[in-house]
Amino acid sequence: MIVSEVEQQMRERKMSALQSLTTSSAPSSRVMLYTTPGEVVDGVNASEGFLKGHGTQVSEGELRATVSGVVERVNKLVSVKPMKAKYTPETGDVVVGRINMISSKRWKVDINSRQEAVLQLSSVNLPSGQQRRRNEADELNMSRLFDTADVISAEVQSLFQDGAANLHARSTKYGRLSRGVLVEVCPSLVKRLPQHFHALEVAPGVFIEVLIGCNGFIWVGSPGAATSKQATNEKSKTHEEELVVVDKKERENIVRVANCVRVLDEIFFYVTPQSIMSIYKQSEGIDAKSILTSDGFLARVIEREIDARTRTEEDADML
Amino acid sequence: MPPPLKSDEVKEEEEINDDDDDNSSVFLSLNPITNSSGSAFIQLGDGRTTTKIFVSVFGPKKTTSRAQDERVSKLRGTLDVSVTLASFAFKSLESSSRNIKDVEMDLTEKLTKCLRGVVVLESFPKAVVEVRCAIADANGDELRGLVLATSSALMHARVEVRDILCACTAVIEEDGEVRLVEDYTNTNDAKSKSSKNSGGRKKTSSARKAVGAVTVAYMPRVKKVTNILSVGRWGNANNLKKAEELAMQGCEEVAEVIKAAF
Repeated sequence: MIVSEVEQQMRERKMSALQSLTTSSAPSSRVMLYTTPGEVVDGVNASEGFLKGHGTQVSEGELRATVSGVVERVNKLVSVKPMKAKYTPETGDVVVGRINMISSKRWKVDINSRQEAVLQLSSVNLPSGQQRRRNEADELNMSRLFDTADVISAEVQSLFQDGAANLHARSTKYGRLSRGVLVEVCPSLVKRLPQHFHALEVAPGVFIEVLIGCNGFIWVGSPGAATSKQATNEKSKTHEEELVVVDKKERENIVRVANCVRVLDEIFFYVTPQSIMSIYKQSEGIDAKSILTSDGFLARVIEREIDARTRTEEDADML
Repeated sequence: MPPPLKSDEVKEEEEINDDDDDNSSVFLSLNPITNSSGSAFIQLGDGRTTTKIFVSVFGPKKTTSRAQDERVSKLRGTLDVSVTLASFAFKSLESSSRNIKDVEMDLTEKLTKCLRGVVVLESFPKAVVEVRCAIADANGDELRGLVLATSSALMHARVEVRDILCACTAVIEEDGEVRLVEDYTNTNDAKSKSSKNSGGRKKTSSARKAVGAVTVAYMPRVKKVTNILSVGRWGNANNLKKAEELAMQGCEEVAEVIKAAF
């Protein structure tokens, strides 16, 4: 492969920026403890007592890690959080999932966790807002509601004993997602926020909707695709009726935002509306498609982040 | 008696590099198979006589209904291990008589035994972790390679394990000397070529002939041995004990190197 000199330079710049990010710019206020399996977790005094959290084991009275990751402590509860693990559902999480199959009275949903999640027919609202009649016809119509391979948003209602999630979509804001793209990122990059539905103002008066699922699945779509689903009195819409042409300008915006999210995954930064917008603003003037492929762009993003972090550190020092 | 799967020439240096390094007798890299949850590649020895193993880990994921019927408990997960040998893994004519299927089953069983007690099965109830090992080149000491690569791949996949499982092989020579075996490509190049994979039978042509070998799978920080596999004649119990201790020491060193990679 022939690599031009400029590309080579950009690649080197990106690599060195990444290097300096990992070595120098970790915020000094947060001390990151990194452990590997089998290691005794530092700073845990066995005589004072501790609570064994996820990713740890007790062996001969000592607390040891079972995964490689960062140590997290909440009072006496010590857990080790792996950087790139599968999603572990928790009650109340907003998730985006893909329907894997329809079985009797329930959908099996892939939410990037160890087990498939379950969405029961009794825990969804009809799009029309009508009360559901519990009859056979209703069950037969399940595929009209959500079909296999549909992408849906839902909330974790409860957890089964084996850690599988029981979902519900009993609000008008949950349901099938359309007119957008699904981007998959590492679940540990998504923080639990009060609000997971966001409308990003990418240009004055132009909005792109983003649904940041706690499971690392992120839906980027045109306005109204994920949020503000209005309960209407119409009959439940079929797929075909929902198919609306999204114009080219909007599609470009969607792809650009989606690529910004992929950039965040690539450089392992938290995915938040602010971080997406910051990447989006920096990407202005670059083709949406070359956001991911341009090393120069990634280098600039990382350098800016280093700048920002060192500045906050200096500010903290001054205070 | 199952054929022992070590050559008598093994090596003790462990190096993990990102780049190919001709001087290293062990080369381990992570993530060679990107669509798996975690994977590792290991090469033991260098030059023409190497053992090359790819290990990929998939999951934890939901069990297939078949597996569920057979053996899945509601409280624990399952570890599904399989080892496959490439048809070109054995190069010498002598080994062509060996039934590849038998070797695969034998290695699968041994590796499963080594991994027992290492993976925290309670952490993924009703789910399965698949460990798929492919041996591309088999020139001795496959079990050690399998253990090291599998342990790294499991950690890379963030499967909960009790410790970094390591394995080392120690041998006893005819004159009774017990040692962690050296880099066979340096010391016994000519001999190892003629004798490699002779179905595990002890070589007669080797100048530094080993009459017994022991592979120890050991968790150095939890200080627990998961498997000991000994073949050959040891003379007396002390020799075996000495070899095992030597191998355990080796494991401790290896664990430090692997730890640095994570």
